[in-house]
Amino acid sequence: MGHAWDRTLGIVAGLALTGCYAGSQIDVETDGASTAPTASGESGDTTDGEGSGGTDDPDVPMAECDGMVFDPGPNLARRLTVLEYGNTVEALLGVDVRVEATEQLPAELRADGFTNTSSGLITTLGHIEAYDALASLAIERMPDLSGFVGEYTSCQEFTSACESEFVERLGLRAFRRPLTEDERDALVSVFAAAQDEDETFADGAGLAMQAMMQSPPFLYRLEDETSGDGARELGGYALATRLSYLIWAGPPDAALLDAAGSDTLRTDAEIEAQVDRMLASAEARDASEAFVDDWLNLARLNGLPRDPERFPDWTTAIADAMVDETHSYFGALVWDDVRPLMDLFIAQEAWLTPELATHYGLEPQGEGIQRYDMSNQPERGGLLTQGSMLTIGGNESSMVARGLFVFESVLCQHPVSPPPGVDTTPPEIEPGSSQRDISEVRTTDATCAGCHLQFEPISWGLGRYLADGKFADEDHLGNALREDGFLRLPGSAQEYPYNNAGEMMTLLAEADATRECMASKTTQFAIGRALTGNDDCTMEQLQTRFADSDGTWRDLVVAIALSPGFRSVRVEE
Amino acid sequence: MRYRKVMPRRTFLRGAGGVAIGLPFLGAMRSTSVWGGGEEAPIRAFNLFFGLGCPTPLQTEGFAGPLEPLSEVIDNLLVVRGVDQVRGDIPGANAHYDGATVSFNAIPSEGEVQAGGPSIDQVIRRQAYPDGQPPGVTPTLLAGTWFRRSRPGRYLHSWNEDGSPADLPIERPTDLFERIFGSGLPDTNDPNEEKRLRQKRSILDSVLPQYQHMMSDASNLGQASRSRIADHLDNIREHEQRVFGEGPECELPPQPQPSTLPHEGAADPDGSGIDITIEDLTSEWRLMSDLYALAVQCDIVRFGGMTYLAAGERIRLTGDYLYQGELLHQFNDQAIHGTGGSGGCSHEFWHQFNENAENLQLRMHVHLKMRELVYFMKRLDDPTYADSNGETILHNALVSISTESGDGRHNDIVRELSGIFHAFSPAGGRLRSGEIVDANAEALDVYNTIVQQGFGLDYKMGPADRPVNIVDAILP
Repeated sequence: MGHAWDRTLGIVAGLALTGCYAGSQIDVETDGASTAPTASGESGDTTDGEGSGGTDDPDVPMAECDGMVFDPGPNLARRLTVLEYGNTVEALLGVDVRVEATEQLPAELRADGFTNTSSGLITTLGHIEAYDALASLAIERMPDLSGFVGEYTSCQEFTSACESEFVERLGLRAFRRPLTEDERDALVSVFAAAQDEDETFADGAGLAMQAMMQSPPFLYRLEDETSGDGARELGGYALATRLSYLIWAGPPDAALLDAAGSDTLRTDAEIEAQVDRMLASAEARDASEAFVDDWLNLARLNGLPRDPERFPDWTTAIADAMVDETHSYFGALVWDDVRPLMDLFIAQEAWLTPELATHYGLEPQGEGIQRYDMSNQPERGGLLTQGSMLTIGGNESSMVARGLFVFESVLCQHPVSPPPGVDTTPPEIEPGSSQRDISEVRTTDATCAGCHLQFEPISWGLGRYLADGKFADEDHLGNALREDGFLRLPGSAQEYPYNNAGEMMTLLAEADATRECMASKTTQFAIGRALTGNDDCTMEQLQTRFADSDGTWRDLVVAIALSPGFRSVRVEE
Repeated sequence: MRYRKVMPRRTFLRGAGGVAIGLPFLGAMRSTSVWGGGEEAPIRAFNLFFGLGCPTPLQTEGFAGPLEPLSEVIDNLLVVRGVDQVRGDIPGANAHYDGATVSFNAIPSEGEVQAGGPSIDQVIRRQAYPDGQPPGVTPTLLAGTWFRRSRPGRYLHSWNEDGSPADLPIERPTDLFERIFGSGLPDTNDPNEEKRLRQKRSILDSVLPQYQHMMSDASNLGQASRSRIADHLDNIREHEQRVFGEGPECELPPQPQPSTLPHEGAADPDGSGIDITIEDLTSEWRLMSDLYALAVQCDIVRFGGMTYLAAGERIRLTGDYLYQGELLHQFNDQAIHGTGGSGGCSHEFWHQFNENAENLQLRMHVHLKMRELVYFMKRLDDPTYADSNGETILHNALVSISTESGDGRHNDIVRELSGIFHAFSPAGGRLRSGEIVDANAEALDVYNTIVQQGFGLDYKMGPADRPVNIVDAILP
């Protein structure tokens, strides 16, 4: 797990629940958390749009975590990421401002391995200025503003009825829940700024839309964090928002909002059905790429340099092609072939441009990215033999960097620091040694081995791949390269030998730790924070469900969506 | 974006390549402090972080060692030795990161972008200006020059009460310029400009109450979420002030040239480090320092900080190092190490520190950083920008200087997080100055002494049940 310390252990201890959803111990919001009715006469609340429901629903089976305290973990208003913002604007208005959003919005911080870590999603002046400009741009780009407005109102006169109808109907989609009276009135007030200038109703609606796009319920994923006690099941609209941003990196569509509003997004069957519907869309495939980018830190390859003397044919176009290789590989296995996620480590195929194929020493076939059958190319195939992975660690085939990547990102482990007082001066290395030889000095040195044995032997299987991704017999110093080694799995000192990268990756693919880590990483991405010990209850259920499944992306997303932590929010006293 | 009136006197920005840019500076207009009912100087607090640290044994040499440049501003500085951050140790985390993330807040972090508590600049900011700072003053400004990218805590050193970053640090001079002065002049010839501004006002007027509601007692948000919304609201207010022309008056200076240094991902290609000349590095440092100092002088910023290289920074520096007109040293890190990549970086001199050796390279790197810190402090110490009480900004502000470790050898975490260099400006006479003192105390106690005894605040940093041990050595 990450090194996040949960400061709220006191709260968790106070919950003292014996199971994740143990009947009446969970406070389920019964109706409209707070406030005045909306103009439509239906109840709603400020942040969640909770639906009604009780805890004794026989269609909501809840497993228990034996002796473990259930805690959904700390909650934080999550600002939309740049990707999510662009997707949300397009979903709402049918206008693409992604290029401008990427240019104008500050880049996200990468923290705890992901760029959507909620604690890092702060808002700066740069964001505010960009939101202002982007909202204006989006309205300018609408090809038929009046026509669009007409989809949300039956009239286009400067009357309270027309203005309110427009604001409420579009507002439901923009805010991902019904508006409160105050929100409606605030947005309606903007119409006057157009009317006063002798502009049209549609122009007024445009101003109201700009206001919506700068309002907190649009820019943030807000949830009711105070109603109830302890851990509370999310209301329909809040759950719909979590599902849509997990699966689409975008807002709920009309069907999902309808399910939330009609309280048909509560049982496992209902949620699973929506997940399957959502996964069938193109947006889901595109959004999964965001996870891959973060999990594998593919942004590292943007403009990645290599030593021109050692790697004279390296170009940044090769680096770009390596990113495309990994994207296409993931897409094909996960979406086209619907294979288990563990096959990512062993599938004997590659997705290459002609240039990248040539770079790898393969005969190019056709234009653009093509599928290459690697059945007869044992040195290729599998995620870790792709250039996007092999370029980790600079110009050397860094055993440390590659090993740490697998250790942390594939096995979810963290190296242990040397104890105080230990001399960590690196051992003497004979000049001209191969990276493997240098690695073995570290893994046999009494001082270094305790730490380095944890992760370096993993990368020995990649020892014949150079820092530009090519497969070679010798390094630049003339040393013969090796690819044999052994793997230690978490929690065990047993060494599993392998002869080459393929065998090493097979060991990884078959290990429970790898599957569990994939689930952990994806969950972290889903909830926007590193997992802590307080997530053990949720993760136990999730891991069990995933392990009992076919292990596909769909199975993992369903396991996350049905997990207690995903469906609940911690209530603040 | 609205621009403002002429400043009567002149100072200079140094652009990339050493070209001086003349610009007039702020005239008589100066916001008075809201602190304590009418003091003559605004309350200001800045965190200056420099990467890699200064080993404790070298600190004992005083100004005869690598701390020499600090002697130039010692009248408005207190060097504090013997400050330990051992509570910052996070098992399994790297010592550079540990030390960096407790600099200025002294509480172990809870995630890579989640500090354990607020930094001292933000504590003072929130206490001094609970209802927000005067119009035109930005909530917080963070800037600097750094290259190491992994983990934001290496280069981000200003944290809110909830542990979230107080701002995102700016690393490009052109971006810092835009952040301070805005972008683009209004088209006064556009007949629609006034209409556009009226409509923008109407939009803002509909949005602001929503944020205010989210922070109110009627909100269903928890405290952490409300804090997030509160920060958003602060930034909306600043945006509003910029759009509608409220706030202090400064003339727009010429825009600096685009930086030639690598930034973002290119600045940290897989941790193997970058090659950089001292000329390029210091040119950008000084341009950033000039811009930041100008923002302070213009009373656009009162809180935040600067980063002079990230924790665990990896650069291979070359070039002649001149100090007070004399050639003091010739940097050539890669040649000294005899290798490239990460092994050729200046970082390795810290790994190789030996109390019984000369450590020449390390000394010179520290000396260089001290020189650049002094450059910035001197900008703030310019009497032409004195506050209404006749004292310089440096004298009146709390400028806190610190780093990541007291030893870079990574084989003794207690030693590594002990004796971490600290220095403070007088904060308007609230702290002692003109000396080097030995605090022999936890950083948490040093910070709490400043907050409670120096500023008289009813606020405690750190665990609620931990008593504060006052560090008399830093008090007048």
